[in-house]
Amino acid sequence: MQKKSAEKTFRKIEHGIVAVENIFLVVSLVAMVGSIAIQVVCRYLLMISSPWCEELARYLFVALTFIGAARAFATKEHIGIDLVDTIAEKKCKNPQKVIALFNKLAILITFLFIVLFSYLYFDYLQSIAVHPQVSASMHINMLIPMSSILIGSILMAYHDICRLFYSYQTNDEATESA
Amino acid sequence: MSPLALLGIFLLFFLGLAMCFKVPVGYSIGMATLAVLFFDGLSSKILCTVAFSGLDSFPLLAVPLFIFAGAIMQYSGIAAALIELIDSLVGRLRGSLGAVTILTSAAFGVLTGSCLATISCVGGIMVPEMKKKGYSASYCAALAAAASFLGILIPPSVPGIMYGLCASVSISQVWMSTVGPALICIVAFMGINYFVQGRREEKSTVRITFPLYIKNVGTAFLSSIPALIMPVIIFGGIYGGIFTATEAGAVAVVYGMIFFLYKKIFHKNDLTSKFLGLTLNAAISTAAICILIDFSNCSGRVISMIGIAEAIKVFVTAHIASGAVFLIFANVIFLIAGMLIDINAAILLIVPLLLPTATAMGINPIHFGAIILVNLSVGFITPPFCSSVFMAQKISGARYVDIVKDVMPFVIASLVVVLLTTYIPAISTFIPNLLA
Amino acid sequence: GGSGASTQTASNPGGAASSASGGDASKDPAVTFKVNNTHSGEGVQDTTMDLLIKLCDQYSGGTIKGTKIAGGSLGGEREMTEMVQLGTLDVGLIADMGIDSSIGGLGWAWLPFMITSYDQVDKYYINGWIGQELTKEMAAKGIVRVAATENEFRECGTVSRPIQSMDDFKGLKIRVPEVDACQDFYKACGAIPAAISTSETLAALEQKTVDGVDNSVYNLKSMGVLDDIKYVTMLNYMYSGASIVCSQSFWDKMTPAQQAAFTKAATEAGASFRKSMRADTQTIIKNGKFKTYEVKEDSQFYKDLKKVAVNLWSTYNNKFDSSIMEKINKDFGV
Ligand code: NA
Ligand code: NA
Repeated sequence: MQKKSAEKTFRKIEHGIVAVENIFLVVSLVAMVGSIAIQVVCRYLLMISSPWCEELARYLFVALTFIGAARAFATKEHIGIDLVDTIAEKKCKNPQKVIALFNKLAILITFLFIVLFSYLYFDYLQSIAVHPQVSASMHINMLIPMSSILIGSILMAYHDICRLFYSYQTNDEATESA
Repeated sequence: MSPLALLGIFLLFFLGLAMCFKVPVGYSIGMATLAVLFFDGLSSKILCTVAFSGLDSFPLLAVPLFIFAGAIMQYSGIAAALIELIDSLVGRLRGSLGAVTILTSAAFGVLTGSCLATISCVGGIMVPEMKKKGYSASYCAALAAAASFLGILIPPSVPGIMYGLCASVSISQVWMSTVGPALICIVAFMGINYFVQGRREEKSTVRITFPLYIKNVGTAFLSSIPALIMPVIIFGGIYGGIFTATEAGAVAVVYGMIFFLYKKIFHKNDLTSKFLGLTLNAAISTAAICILIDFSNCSGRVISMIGIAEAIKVFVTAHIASGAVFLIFANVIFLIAGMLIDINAAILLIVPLLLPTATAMGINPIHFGAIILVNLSVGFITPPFCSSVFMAQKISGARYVDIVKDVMPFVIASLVVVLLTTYIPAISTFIPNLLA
Repeated sequence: GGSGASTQTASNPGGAASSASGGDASKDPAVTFKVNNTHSGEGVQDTTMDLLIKLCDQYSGGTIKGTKIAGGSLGGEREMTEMVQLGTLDVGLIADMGIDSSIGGLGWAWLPFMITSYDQVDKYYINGWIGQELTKEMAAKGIVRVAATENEFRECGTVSRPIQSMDDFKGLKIRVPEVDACQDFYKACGAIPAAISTSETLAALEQKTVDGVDNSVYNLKSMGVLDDIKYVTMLNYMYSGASIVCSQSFWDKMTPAQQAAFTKAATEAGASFRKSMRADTQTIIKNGKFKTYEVKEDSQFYKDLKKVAVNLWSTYNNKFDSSIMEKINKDFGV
């Protein structure tokens, strides 16, 4: 019983985080479109240059990719090859058990990689911070756009390990909300 | 360690993790890259440098933009209108639903740059229709999967941008170079569809007069005008000097948004999704594809660092004398890559390895690009890693093995098109030259 | 400029001062390096990497071995600079503007119409205080600048009309890199600088999204745009320097004798680079289908350009060190 309520709380927290990520993704995708459209309007209609548009769009894109990739773990939308499932269904007496085991392994391996990557990226940001870089057009500290990768990676690790946690709590896959 | 041993380690980790352990493809590539760095004693900071700068590239923005534009088109009824138009044109042929699927996938290609957008949209509508008409589920899936890669060969396309980026050649020329091969594929697929399905069908007995036919086409044409304007805006804008190929993606989205708003006000029932929902979906699809592109970038960079490109160049110049033989070698590599990995990852990995040798052998980079793109597009339906078949499996509910059996005639026809594209350069260079 | 690099490295804290004395490096422990540049294909950059590797081997008695990474396969100049800074790449041939895009603060070295002739280049940039100052500023950011190559003077290639007066700039859309001084210069002349990525420049020019491209003649050729460009105005408004740089960790790995051998090799390779690139540029101009337009120093157009450019200098006063700006005004002002 206590296990169940712990799971409920965990899911609630993840829901909140997913909601924030969703807002970020929608806003940044629309802002990306907007800034490129502004660049075209500035150059073609207003005849003025606007190099910041391009730069802003690029940095939004980096953030969108990493935060979005984290968000993609929550609804299992990453591109993968489910060859194991097909083989298990054909060759195993109890395919569901084998598939579940491989799912857990995949989550765990991915988690270890993301944690290692986050650690390496944190280390990298520290060495970049020794000689701060400034962006060419907006003149902002490059650590700002670069750190979106670290934030995204930490969120990836979080969402990924949530899947592992839930897989031990219930067998009910349907409770994974979209 | 020798470059080739390191390449072996890379493939072992990548394929092992992705195929045996179901680790998402992008993350498998990332881990394989780390493994290579570890075995070669290189600093892992290279990975971090590329993780940012690989994505920090303006032309790459076309990926989210065209995915977003495709999503708007899909959910605003434009795609359905397009299917109606093509149905009104060829709907009375035997095997017509198959023909409509093929032609609509090709036509849908002008709206989106992504194969998976094409199959999820056109396949999603056509597969149930075909099943109703008695097509087997596995054949529906095979046909929809095969037709979906036409969306890449018909510009605009994301892989075309990736190649243009890697090869530093004009993206619009790369786009135009695959139109010729796409037309041949369309004819070949229509032929296969006729032999497999069409011959079995009864000829339609309902009489239709010519004026009625014209009237039907006219009605369908009117409702699909918004879809037909899209390519006019994209290519008119690019060739009219208003915006670049990447910027065209943003313009397409803005056009789609205006159209969506119009629908929302006047024809609410046509909309099958809320705007925020489809935007979020487009953002997540973008991320799922781009994280893969990003880690492929990392592996490509590391592979350059350990000198595999040089090793291949040395090997090729020592063992391969003519451009024609080199192209066979290149095609075999593409085909294997297309069987194993995603098209964008494959372009990022292979083009830097082979293009220097290709240009040294006097092969036109636009022609080379067409060969790569056609070959890797076929990769969407060549087992074991065939994203289109995976997707079609989801839509149709057929078994993987059965779809693979039914998709084989299409694979063989496509491979013939690959050979034609390889050895008759005019097929790919004719249209770009016409427009230049 | 043969002796230039030794004076440059003299201000380097990495032990270069002693390296200038030279010595026998053939008994030293072997070191290896990887070298790269951002230009793909076979060109001056590629042959210079080969030459550098050869000369290092020769002058070090075989104790410095280099490998070349195919040009352009490690991404752009900002990334390459970062890799040299982090020590993940040992040696790079990078434009000074590219290094600046990563570390910043070097922009004073290419103010428009500051350096306008190759005599000034040799006197101030290769052998003089500009080169020394750049070496010092790069060293402060963890980059060892060993020798100078170059990217020549920047010109303007156009399709619609040649640029022969200030009026010709009006309304022209020119593809200009994301470098403040370049952007500001074209804006001040009345043109519209357009930020278009390198890979899209050729298509943008063909489809008239832009009317022209700003770069050196050599780079216009390697960008593939010279077949479309009809007129090249030799504005010579900006000298784009470039360097052979190496990472601090690689530099520290070498003994003083090896450092001297490396410096000697890089200096010679750099000089050969400049010579071949200038010669190639003349060949490109001779064989090109485009028309070139000189801007004579006594013409009104030259005076107008110089006036517009020098007016811009004061806008950079609070961005850069005042002593440097003073020196610039003293040596190059009107
Ligand atoms: Na397309
Ligand atoms: Na495949």
